[in-house]
Amino acid sequence: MIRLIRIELKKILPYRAFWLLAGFYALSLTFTLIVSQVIINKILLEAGKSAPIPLLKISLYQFPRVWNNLTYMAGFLTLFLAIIVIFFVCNEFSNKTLRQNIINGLSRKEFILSKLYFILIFSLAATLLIFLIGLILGLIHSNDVDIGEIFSSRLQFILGYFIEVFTYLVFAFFIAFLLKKAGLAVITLLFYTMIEQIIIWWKIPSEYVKFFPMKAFGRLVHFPRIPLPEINGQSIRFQDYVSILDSAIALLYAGIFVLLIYLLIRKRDL
Amino acid sequence: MPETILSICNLTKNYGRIRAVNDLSLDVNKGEVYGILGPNGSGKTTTLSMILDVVNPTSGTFTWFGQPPSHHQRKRIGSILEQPLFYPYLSPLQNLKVLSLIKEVPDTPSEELLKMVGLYERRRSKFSTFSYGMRQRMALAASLLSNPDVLILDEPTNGLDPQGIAEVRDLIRMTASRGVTIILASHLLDEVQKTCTHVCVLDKGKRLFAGSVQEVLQETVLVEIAAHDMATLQHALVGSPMIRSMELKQDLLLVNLAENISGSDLNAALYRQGIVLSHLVQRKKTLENYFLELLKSSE
Repeated sequence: MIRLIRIELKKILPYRAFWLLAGFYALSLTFTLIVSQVIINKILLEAGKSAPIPLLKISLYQFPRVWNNLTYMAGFLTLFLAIIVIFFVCNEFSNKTLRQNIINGLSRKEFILSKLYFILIFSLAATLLIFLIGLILGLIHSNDVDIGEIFSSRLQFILGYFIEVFTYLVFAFFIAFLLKKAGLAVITLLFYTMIEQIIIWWKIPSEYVKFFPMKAFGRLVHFPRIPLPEINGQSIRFQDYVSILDSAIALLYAGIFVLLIYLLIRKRDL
Repeated sequence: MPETILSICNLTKNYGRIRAVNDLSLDVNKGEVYGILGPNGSGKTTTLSMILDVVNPTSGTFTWFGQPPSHHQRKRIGSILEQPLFYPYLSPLQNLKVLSLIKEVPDTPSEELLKMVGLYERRRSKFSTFSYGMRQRMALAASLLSNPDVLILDEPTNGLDPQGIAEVRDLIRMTASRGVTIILASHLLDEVQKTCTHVCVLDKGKRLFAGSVQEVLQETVLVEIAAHDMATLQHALVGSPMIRSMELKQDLLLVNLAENISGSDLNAALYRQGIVLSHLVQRKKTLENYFLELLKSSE
């Protein structure tokens, strides 16, 4: 396992395009998080001018709700991470280094494993990034910081986010492995997401929606927590926890895609 | 009994309706320099791809070192295939590092090897900046990193300048003298004749011949003959059991003699028929003659 991880790290760490994309992701993530807060407050400020009661400025990033909101918003940018994975995997095809790796003595199974380890580490890094951003934003936006609030049960959203990213990236790995060409894989990923959404709108009863792959990968943290007052006496049903069923469905899909990749690489001439 | 390194048994590969390799069997023993010879598209690369497990055979089996194939055996095999394949954004040193981790060998000889192939100065430049010849040299260095028991080369001198070709040949000779078994695929007869001890001739995926190069060269005797009346001479030889084939080249008749027939046998026979030769020269035996002969007879 250590050997396979080392191989992957030697392949990717000196790769400048990887750092560019990863840096771009980190920047756009930070930017999105800060700007969305500003925009929401702008809207509230405008609305407050005509409202009978003054609306308070809100903060999305107070402990402990920061964990929920942050992971929810970061979910929109996971596509970037998927694109990085797709490029990295498809490179092995376009440079024919997969073929060379096998000739040199890597087994096909080891190749798949090494890429899965990479995705695992990459997901962990993305999760760590969110955690650190959450910590910083939370400290900035909370007045009285209580350790219990930082490390509250809401921290499970970070775990949910990790599963979300990992399973989604496994799906991206599958698409990349199936199609071999990066451009085609990215387009297919986007196109598939759209098609699935259309099918769901069109025909699928809501109780089955969670069984669709893209929904499964995106549902773990699917609702933000905004400190809004009750509307017409009805409070919004916020998401309080990461559903175990949803996690299981996402992980099951990931398992199925790994299996498909394995079957593909066994049958395929490289 | 020599130790068998590679044994291929009834290997077949179909690409759709095209049969790239057809029921191929051969054995390579330890210490041999084994040439796989054939025109373009004869199935050489497909055969090598199958024994290196990047192409799945349609049917048939092979063993390495007497064992069913596994990725551990491939770690003992060095290879230089048609195109040198490395990570373009990594330097030679970084590429060799990845290779050493895959092969589970230390990468300590890296610098030494790069010096040997003349890439030491460029050890930190990206592979993508290398010229074709440099890439070939890089492949050479990589193939030797693990101190392999077997070296596989596919058209190793393709696209190299004369100096590069000479260097590759030296390397093959040097490596072979250390007891490393070498398997070399080529369409260049001259290359096989100069470097190989054994040869297998492929055409359209079928094995036409397998044996030692010496055997081949002993077998074929090519003579050029001429007489006053070339037409009579040619007529006299048509269908003769003494020859395999003949070919008129300007005012000479090139004759490929049948087994155990010498030039003087032919001369005596013709004389008995009243034909006096004005010219009889035994040509230097080359693999090329034999090879072309084989291809012709297989058509």
